[in-house]
Amino acid sequence: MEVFDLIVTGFAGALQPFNFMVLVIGLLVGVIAGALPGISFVNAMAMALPFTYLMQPISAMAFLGGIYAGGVFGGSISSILINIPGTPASLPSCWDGYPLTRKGQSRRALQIAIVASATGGLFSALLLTFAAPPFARFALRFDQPEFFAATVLGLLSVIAIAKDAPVISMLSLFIGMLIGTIGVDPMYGMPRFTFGTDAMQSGINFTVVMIGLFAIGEVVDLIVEKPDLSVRKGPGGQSLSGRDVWAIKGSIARGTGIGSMIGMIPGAGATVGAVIAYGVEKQASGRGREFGTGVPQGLAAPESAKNATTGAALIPLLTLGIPGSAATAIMLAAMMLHGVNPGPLLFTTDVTTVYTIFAAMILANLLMIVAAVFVARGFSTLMRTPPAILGAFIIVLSVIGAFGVRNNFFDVWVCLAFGVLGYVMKRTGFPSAPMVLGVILGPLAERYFLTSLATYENNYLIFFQRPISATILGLAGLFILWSLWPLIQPLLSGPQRKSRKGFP
Amino acid sequence: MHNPLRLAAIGLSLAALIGPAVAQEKFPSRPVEVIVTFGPGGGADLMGRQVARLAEPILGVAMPVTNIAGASGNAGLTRLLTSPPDGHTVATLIALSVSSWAAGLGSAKPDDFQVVAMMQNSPSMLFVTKNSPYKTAQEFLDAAKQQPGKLRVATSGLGTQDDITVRYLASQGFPTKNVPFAKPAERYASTVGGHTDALYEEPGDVAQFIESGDLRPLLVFNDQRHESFPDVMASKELKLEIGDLPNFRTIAVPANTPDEIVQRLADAMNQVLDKPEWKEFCAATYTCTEKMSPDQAQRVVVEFHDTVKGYMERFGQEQAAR
Amino acid sequence: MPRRAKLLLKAVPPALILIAAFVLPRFMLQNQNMAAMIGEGEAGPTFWPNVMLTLVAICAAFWLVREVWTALRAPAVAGEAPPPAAPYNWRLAWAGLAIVILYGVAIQYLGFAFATLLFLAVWLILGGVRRPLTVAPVAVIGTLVLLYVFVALAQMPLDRGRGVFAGGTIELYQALRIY
Repeated sequence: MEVFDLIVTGFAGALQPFNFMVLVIGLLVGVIAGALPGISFVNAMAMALPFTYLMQPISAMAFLGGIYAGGVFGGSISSILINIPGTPASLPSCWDGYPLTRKGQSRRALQIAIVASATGGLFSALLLTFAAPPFARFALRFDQPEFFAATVLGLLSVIAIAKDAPVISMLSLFIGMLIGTIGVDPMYGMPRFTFGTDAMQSGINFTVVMIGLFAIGEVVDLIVEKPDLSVRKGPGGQSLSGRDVWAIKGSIARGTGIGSMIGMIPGAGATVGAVIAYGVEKQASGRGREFGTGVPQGLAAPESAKNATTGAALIPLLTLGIPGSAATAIMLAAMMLHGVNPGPLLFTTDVTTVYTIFAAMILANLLMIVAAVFVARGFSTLMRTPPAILGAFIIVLSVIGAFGVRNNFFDVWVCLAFGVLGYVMKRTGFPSAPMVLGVILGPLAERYFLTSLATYENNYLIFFQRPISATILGLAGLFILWSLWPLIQPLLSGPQRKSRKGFP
Repeated sequence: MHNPLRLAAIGLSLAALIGPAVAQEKFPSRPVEVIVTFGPGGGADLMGRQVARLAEPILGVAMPVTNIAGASGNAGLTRLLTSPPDGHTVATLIALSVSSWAAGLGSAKPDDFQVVAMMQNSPSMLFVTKNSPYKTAQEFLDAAKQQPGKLRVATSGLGTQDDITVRYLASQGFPTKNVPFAKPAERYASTVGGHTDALYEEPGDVAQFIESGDLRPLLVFNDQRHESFPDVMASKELKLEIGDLPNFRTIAVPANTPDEIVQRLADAMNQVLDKPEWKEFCAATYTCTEKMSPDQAQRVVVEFHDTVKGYMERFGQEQAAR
Repeated sequence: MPRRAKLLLKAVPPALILIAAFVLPRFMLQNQNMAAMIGEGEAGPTFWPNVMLTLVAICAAFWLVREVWTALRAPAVAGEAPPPAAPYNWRLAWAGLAIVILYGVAIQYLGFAFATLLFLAVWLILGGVRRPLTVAPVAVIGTLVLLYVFVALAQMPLDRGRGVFAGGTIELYQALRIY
């Protein structure tokens, strides 16, 4: 019962007026920053860092935790409404969220996203509260080969998601992974593909690529095509009913499970979780063929998965002092600036702080429903502004966001170059999502691959010799077979099918 | 005719005329931007943010911190060098970036910068996980000798001072395997989780693991023992002459910044070093250092660069000879 | 243009990618002297990019073969007319892209504040919002809001421009109480 005493103390701390206030402000800032195309919540967290200097450590963490939880959700608002992912993790939410908007069901889509995100986030926060130490010990058994295997699973999901034209989707993915190798390599410190320029040594940042590919091409189309994105009263009603939620419970559960597991792996984070969840859901929901046309399951699964990574990502941070992503690294900085050192000792020396952070994360996900509803309504209203005005600000925000990723003007050029490329790709039908995922996952895969080899005497078979990584790779293999089954089946049972087809 | 380049050139020369005149009026007259050359959450970031927080009241202007990460800190340093040399832009300059120049990264050199102040300095140490079989540095080195290349040391990369130390140990008959991890978090997790045998790091970055006992210091790479770790052997005691690779963190400005401004910034930094909050911070990160004048600090950076370059040439030739 | 040639034109992108995959390895590493530091039997910094280039080449080759195949097997005369494409204003689209690029250039010379003001106005006019009473307030108020949020509150080091514009931007910021 000691744990419950601690949780009560934690909630008492998190509900103190000032802490509660900064939590709510953080949530709103996060949802808005996430929803603004171009501005990612990581930007917002970095900008918020100086404000936390003046706060108590607990308030600082409540503030940043609010931005984090809100921001991971917020990115989906622009994914759903204008097909521009607000953050990389919201990329899969475009695929079935935006088609719903085109059908005039944007409000319904946002409601699905909110319910799924909040459920995933809440479960993850509870997991953090009740199971952090044992999970952290488990996570420590993961080494580089396991991380590599998990990244491979993510890459294979990309291929599994490719609806049509698998060859071109794979080409897009590999080009993305090739772009990811630009700059100083992670291991030998050697510049690659820099063409003699210093600026290229910093490499190509995936958020910048994403902003360019999605935001700029989309905005140009916005002034040319002037699509109608407003809410229409359609068949099936606008609002989400309890029955609708019940229908997607399986998707939310699967997404939450996948997100919670992936979230604990450093480096992978919300994007990988959401992509894998989408890929799995496409197979598991039984409606895979309709995916991409506005299927609620296809939106719910990645939504719940990406928010389920938020609490899980805090497990290695708080228990081991190991940040797995840019967002958790900022939280680490905030804690260390206050002299609070996350790590195993925190649970013995500062247990109240720990449980207050837990309570704040639980509250953040509950309050997120309220905050998200308000912000989503506000953004839906914004959609009524003329497309030219909307587009002008999206471009300015994209440029600010691309610059703000590393405060480097070179990134603005990269963003604009990918903007032109993205526009051409959009018009010619060359898929851009695999390319972005390649830029995100490629460098991770390379780093884990090379470090695995360095750790295990250049043994290329190590990935199959360690039980956990072999299991993950086995699952990845099964997964790819499962998703390609419609292609393989006719080859295996071709003659029978033909004969059956002969009957009317 | 007036082409845009000509116009730009005229504009630039105008700026050059106006720039110093404005700067001499009063320094600082607007916010002083602190460029942190690494991402949020690392050692350089913490240093930059503490400096900004504590120096703001001294200089009387805002000091926004800007993280410009990439290419071992060279992206941020390039940004510093392209900013006007009027003291309104300062940057963190740390040992890792200086050693990267020696390894051929970036195009900067020590002469491009004027170091304002030495803020932190710490030797590197060798750590093992708490249930490692090696209790002393001697045991570890013996094991390295008996099984050449079997022991794995987690480092920050090849061509860094970490790599130099591993190569130096090998040249003295203690070959180990260098396993580079670009992300500090993964590096620590690897040793704490027992996937690598030892970790090369400065103590401040793994303070929480030292305090919790998850990491045990074996050896400090310095000529004398560290006062916070009196029981940990210094490398010189084992006849290893590798005490010349300190991990320093400085604040720097472009080399052509006027002397008065450098001095004004240096005074502010020295006042920061005297603040009790700073003393607490540097004690917690094992990085307290003596105050230095800008020229002394500059000399440390130049000497470090030459040292690293010397090692690189030596090991490069050895590699080529084999 | 005969239909077959038109179809062959579709094989150009994969062909270009394929060529790039063979040319790019020459530009992979800048300085070779660091390669001396790599131990024997190690994958090295070129391993992963080479694998990616190979995969790109394989996929591009597949694509190329398929495009050429369909082009060659297609009947010389079009069997069915291509579906009439919706009228799409390409000139407007490319003008939009050009203005976006020019905005990037302008930020470096005019500074973020002036470039954004200009860009907002131009984009609105291009996008069909032409009433001066709409364009001016949207551009001015929009720029001010962006300045207060990102320069004043978030303290982002956005470009201040060069020459006179640098001075102008600093004066503007001081007048707006941002500095």
